[in-house]
Amino acid sequence: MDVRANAGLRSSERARELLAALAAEHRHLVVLLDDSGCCGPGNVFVQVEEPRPVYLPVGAVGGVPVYIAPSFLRGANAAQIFLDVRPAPLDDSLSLETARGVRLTVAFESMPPVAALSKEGSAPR
Amino acid sequence: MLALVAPELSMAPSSSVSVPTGRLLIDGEFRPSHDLATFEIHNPATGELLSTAALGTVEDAKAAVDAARAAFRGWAATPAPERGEILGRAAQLVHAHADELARIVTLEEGKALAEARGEVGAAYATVSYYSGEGRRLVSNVVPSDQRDKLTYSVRKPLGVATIITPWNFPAMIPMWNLCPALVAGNTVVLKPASYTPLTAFRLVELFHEAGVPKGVLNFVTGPGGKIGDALAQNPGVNVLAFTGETLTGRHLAEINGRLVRRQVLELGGKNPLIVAADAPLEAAVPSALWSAFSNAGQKCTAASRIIVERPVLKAFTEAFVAAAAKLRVGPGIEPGTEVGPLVDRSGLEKVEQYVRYGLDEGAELLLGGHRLSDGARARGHFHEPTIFTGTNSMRISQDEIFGPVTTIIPADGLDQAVEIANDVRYGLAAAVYTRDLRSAMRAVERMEAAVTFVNHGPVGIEVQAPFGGTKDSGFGRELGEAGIEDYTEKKTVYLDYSYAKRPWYYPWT
Repeated sequence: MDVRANAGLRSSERARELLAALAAEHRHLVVLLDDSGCCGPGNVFVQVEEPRPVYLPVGAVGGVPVYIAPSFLRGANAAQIFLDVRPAPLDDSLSLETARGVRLTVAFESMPPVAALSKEGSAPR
Repeated sequence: MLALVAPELSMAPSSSVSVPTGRLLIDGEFRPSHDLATFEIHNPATGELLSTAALGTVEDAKAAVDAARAAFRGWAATPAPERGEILGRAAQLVHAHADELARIVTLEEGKALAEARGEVGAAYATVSYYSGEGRRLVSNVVPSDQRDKLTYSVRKPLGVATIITPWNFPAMIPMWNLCPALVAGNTVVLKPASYTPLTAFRLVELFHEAGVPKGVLNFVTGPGGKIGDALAQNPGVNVLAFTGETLTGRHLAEINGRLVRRQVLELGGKNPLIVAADAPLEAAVPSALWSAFSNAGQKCTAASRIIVERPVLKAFTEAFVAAAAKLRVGPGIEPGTEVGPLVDRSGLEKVEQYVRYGLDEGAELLLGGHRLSDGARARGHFHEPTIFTGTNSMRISQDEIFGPVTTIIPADGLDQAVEIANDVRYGLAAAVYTRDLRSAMRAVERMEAAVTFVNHGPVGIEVQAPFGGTKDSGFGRELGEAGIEDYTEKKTVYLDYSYAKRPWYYPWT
């Protein structure tokens, strides 16, 4: 399922600049959007490895392709996905941008109204 | 209110504590980083500068692994009871310094002092438990197919263990891995979380004082993107244990796979607590409160989904919300505080973001929903205990928020409650409250979690039982005998004492 038609991907200028700078250092990069789970506030991971096939493409920022985990998608295919950057000098993630003391973040904007969803499990998973 | 099940330690309370300055420990020498750089550690309750720690370099990470490799042969050859004796001395030192350690935990991580004392009690229990393993490390003998032949297997250490630990339990989780690794004969490089390196540093000082030989335990600090990556990419590391965010855990799994290396990954959780129609609410409500809000919800086992059967939904919800409204939120070091701050600003902002998602998706906010910045809380990362009621498909019910937020989800019967409990990517801990033993055991059998509880919230780990996750919560098991399995491999020995020519040897005539 390609969700690009439904999910709008936007980013701040600093997120674009950061990813473009990282892309200049690495021959191939991808951005993953997923739940960070324990201890992690970022929900974004930048790596050189290809994503697992289950990840869905949502566009590109700074020339770097962005993918989202289906389990993280719920409702987001009708929403704006917004990438930004925050200072993170003590971040212990191995996402590539953390070596520069920053961390990419994701926010979902304009979530669909609840009426757009049916009962349990209606949102894509 | 203790967050963990652990022996009660009698602690001589001190009014103040000397917070250490973090250094590295490499090859038996406490020293600054290669380039003398440091980073600051701030109190999450006040924003005040607590201390500094050495900002390790890639060179430091390599030196730590090299030292551990050089020390491995000698430590592995040390009789296991002797290794256990050293851990025993370390346990005594942890016990003697328990109050000091608890205060450092509270100052750098934020949790209420009573919880920090419980955590240090659990750390002590872990060191004590594994010191005894030095006299066990049980191997096994199996029957041989032939006469006059003995077939047995012995446990061998793996080599260098790199242990990367999170900030939410800065005393306990390092001990969960450090102790089984050391007593089994491995040498160790420990890298604690950068928000909370001081507790781990003090513990390492105590292990050093207990007599851990030079190079056997090494300690490096610094952000994961530099130090953690350098440690993970080093082929001299034989086993890597990581507790932390799922995305980094997956990345490490790829590196570990490439290097054909043993790994222990403890990642996220979205833990259900089921309240059945016959549940004893007088026990379920305070348990749910503790499970959802202790350590400000910053626990991978937190009860972040409370699934309640409809016949008791109203009664449970009213009692739970009323009790949560009375929780005292403030600096953990202050007497009476029950819920401390988030560890840093980004954690607080993530909680606020998820409160917005909950509202956007139509969840009903029953309590809280705001940061707290009045009075003594003006400069800390405080957030109200927050309770939603909603559905399991909402983002607040699926993602790990890692903050003081929980969602009450109604269920029609126990079967549906279990279905809801399992409808999530994670499988760490799960709990059920019921007076009916058959219902409890049916739920335990069906719940997709590696650690299950009956009539107890999904929080409260005992060191002698295995702990870990299934599904996206990771794999490998910490604690108990399973902790030893993580850090050893079996070597099989066939010992033929017949001195005979067996019938299948050449020549066959």
